[in-house]
Amino acid sequence: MTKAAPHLAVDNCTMRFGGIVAVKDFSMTLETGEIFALIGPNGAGKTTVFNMVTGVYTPTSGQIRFRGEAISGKRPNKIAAHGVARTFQNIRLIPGITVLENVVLAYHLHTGYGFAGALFQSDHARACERDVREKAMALLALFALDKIAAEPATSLPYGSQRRLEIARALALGPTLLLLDEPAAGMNPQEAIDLMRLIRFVREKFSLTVLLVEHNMKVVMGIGERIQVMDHGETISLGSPDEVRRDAKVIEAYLGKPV
Amino acid sequence: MRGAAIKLGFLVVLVGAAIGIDFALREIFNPHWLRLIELAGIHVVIAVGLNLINGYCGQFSIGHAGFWAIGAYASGVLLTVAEQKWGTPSAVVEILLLVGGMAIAAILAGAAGLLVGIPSLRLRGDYLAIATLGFGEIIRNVIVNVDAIGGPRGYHGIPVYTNAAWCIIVAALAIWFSRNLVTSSFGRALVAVREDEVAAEAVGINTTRVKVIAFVVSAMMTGAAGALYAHLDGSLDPDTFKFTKSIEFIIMITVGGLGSITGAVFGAIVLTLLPELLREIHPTLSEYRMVIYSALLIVIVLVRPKGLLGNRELSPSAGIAWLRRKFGKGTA
Repeated sequence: MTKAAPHLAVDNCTMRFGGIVAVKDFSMTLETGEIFALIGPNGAGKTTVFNMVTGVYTPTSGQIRFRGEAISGKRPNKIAAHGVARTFQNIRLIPGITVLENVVLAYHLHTGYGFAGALFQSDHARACERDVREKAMALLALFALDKIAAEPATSLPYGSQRRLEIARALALGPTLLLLDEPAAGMNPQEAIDLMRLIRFVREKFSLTVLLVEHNMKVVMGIGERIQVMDHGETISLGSPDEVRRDAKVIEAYLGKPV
Repeated sequence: MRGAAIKLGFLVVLVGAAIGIDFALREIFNPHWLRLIELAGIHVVIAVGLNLINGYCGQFSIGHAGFWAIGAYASGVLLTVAEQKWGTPSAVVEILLLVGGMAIAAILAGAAGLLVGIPSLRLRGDYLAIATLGFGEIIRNVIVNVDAIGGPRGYHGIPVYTNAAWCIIVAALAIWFSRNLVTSSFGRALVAVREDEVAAEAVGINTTRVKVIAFVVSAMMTGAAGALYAHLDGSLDPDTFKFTKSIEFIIMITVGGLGSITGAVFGAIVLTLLPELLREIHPTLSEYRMVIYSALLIVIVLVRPKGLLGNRELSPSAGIAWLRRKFGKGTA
């Protein structure tokens, strides 16, 4: 353990939906700057953990701390404003607006002008708006999306939509990026590109990354530490090699040897 | 500062143009048609306001007649009392009184919007529709039962201050404010809330706040339109503010295209003038106007489900872009 508070600490969290216990007494610690992967078979509770960290659910019991500050129970927009950005398993771009506007949207908290400025289109508001658009374009350029900035966001091919969603998350200026199955539906080449992209944004934006993923090539390829869940509980934690050899993990995925 | 000067210049031109148009309209049209044109202007303000919440934010209000009634009775009663007390005002004072009446109407309607909006907009779903449906009827019933403001007899003897120039100026300002809002970061947040609340929250948007602000602004615009209406005829009848009126406002923006300011303006004008045009053709046609509206609505929903304009806008810059696309290939 380092002396500084961990970047994200989930302490003994339980999430109950009526009689169903989706996540039970779950703990997880992310150190600043690492790429941390959370894996497990379907229904293990990974997305529930994600939703607790981002505020979509409030844990039934337990505590979540982000850089030392308690965030469990806060609303998702508050947690996002703290610097926790996410992408969704089933991409959630805003349809009907352009690629650029989807990113500009995420600068919402940092546009620098208020409601009155917007209402009267003050000079200040216009300048801020130009500024934000430039920033968004620069960000899109990093993801090779600047050429199609004026296209409707939902008309992009799948892989580009994934990249755009990551770009939008980064527009929040986060320190923690949560990726929910970013490689879902990607072919091997796209998955390799994605791994390169995740490493790149981690360096470029000095991020800590929490990754939920089913694609084992991606998980083993970029995950520096891996935590394995099954039936809402942690069954293994360690480096990719340690996890790969763990008998309990093999059992969770493949069943007991006959 | 330069921007502020330009805006002031535009305002002066707008006021001048509105007064000019007012004079021209008085020459061309008889009082009946002049009143209809003024009413169309008032409806434009309401439709543009309603479009903010129903069109852009995707939260359905079906009680805007209530906000309209609050604005109308507030300004109507207040300025009637003022005139009884201080006598007929001079032209300058009249302007100030009407502006003040609209401001008070907007503030009261906005406050009512806040009261209805905060509890019902915290939740996801159609709670606003249910709450506003009840709200509109409550307001009308309160009016009918308060004898001091005429009760079911209506409120009469309100000073007539509204003219075509006022309607044009207020409608233009409503359109301008609305356009400014929807093109700002606030407008993007509105669309995000309409399309996907979970994604909106994930990028830091306080969805409740955005919805409540949009609803209050919408109520305020409608309240100001109510003040204009009170001083148009000089009398108010509580039956005007029935639930069917709210539905009529919704038809206006649906016909034009939800989420299009041009559509709202267009819908408001067409639906104000249509019954009278029908009457011109044949008197009984006008009695069937609700039937014709319904048929029209069904046809539009079938043929153009997103309204006549969809979410497109007609503006000078959009017009130029369209011409470029249409004819640009030849010159390029």
